[in-house]
Amino acid sequence: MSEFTVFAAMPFILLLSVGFGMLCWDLFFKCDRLVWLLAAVFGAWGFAIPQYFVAETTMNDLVYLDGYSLFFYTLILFGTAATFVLNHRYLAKQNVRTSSDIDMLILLAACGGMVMVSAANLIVLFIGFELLSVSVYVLCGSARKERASSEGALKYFLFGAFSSAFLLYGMAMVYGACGTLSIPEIAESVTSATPMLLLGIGLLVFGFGFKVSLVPFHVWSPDVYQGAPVSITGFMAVVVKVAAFGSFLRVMSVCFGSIQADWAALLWTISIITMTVGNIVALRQTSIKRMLAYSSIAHAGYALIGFISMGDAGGVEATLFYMLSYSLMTVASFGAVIVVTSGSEAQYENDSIDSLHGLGWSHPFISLVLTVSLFSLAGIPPLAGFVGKFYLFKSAVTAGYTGLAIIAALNSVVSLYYYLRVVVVLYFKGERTLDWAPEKSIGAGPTIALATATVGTLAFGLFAEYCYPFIVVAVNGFS
Amino acid sequence: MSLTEAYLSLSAIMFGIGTLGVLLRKNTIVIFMCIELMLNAVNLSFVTLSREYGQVDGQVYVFFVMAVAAAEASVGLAIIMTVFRNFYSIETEDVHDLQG
Repeated sequence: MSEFTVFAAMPFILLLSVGFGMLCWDLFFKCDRLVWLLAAVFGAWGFAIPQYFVAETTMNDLVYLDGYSLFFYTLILFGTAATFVLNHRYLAKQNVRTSSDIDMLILLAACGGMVMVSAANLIVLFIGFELLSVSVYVLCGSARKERASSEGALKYFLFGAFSSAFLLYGMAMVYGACGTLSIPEIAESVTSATPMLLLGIGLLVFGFGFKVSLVPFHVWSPDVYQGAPVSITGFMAVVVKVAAFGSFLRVMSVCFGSIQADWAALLWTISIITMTVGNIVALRQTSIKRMLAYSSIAHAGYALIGFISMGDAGGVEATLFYMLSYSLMTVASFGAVIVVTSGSEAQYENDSIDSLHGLGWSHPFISLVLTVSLFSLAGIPPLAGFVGKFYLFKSAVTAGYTGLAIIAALNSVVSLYYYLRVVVVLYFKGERTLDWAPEKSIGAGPTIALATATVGTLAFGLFAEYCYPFIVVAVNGFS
Repeated sequence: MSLTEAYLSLSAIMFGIGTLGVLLRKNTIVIFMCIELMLNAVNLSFVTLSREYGQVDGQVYVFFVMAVAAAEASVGLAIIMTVFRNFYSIETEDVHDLQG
């Protein structure tokens, strides 16, 4: 145990030390940072791998070492690596700061996300939550001269700080009801739903709901997704959302799983409202960034199904698989959008769906990536998005929530319309008439990142039954 | 009403005032001050509950919350500065380019 403690801290130590090193990097070096950033990210992941084989808490019961944490580390670090690779090429072309402090903030945000998903104490979770949030507030406003960017940062900051106050108040109420904030101890002490505990759970749902943009706490997210530099939008859609879902799921299932009947109705309602509003509002979006923002709201609604059907029905495992497929297809779709919009000088004006027209024939690779990821988001077999939805709906039916599964399936049908519209614009709107176009050659790094995400989307769809047992093992460790 | 209940009620009232301020006020600095009020209301709850349980834990949490609130304040004020440079205003009604 004791020798493992330092080892358990290594991923955090590595990310933080390289992150703070990045602050001084520009003073001393002129060479490329990307290799070092990727080394830190993959090194952190390498140090975390042994966690797959254990399930315990460490550092005075403040941090979980288990496969569940490792699973979310993998997604967070994959999203971070993809962001570095895409950012590297993209920032150089835009009116955005390119100095190394951006890299530092991304590393700190990734570290915060990892603290969130592995926290075994709610106050540690809060620290990770804030480390992630504060870094991303700054990243959002990193295009300082753009009005949209600073407005996005302001909205994200105000709503984020507001929601973290609710999260914290929820923690205070849980502390009042249970006398502890340690997640395993809360799990032991929760036997019946007292009013104070229910108030705490409601406030926690409120706080997390803001971060994962559940309706009605979603109002900030389209504006922020549109206003932030597009590579940061991709980072938010993947890393922030996955980390928030990872910790939300752990808190709800481990701490309050025993009184699930008391809060399932609340999440049932939120889930349905979220997916319906997300999909219907996405129908009338003209900006691709806003469309993807509403689509990610809808996906948060789907992922919430696993919270309602957790337990024997396998909701937790299904949500984990959904997070895996969601991050792959989101990296691919946002990666394609990053590459496309970086061809334009005025990225903030040229993010409409129509500006993609004709790219299918002139830029086959990017269009293929975008098409596959959108098909997967729409849930077309055999892609990972379809399998993820299938597991979720199956768990809902097994747990007796057939109505929920039917509404969710109807929602996916609605979502087909706006995803396919982009594909139609790509391939069936004739020659390109706009005077700007993405570059023909997008460089090795972005190509590898996009290809990995796309192939992953296909592979996890086709071979889901081989990787699902690993997720089951990862989940079995905790609770 | 016991002392604990009284302090928890005070904290809830402060939290409510902060929430109302965030929802009703237009000046971003005032909104931000209301958020700080909400965080401090939570701190009061933590300290009260800590005393009720006879533990030191709740008081330690307050230090974390205060540190985080300070970090958030520095970042928030910097963001408000960049907004002012771009919009020449920090009223929420003037800062709404993004919509649709």
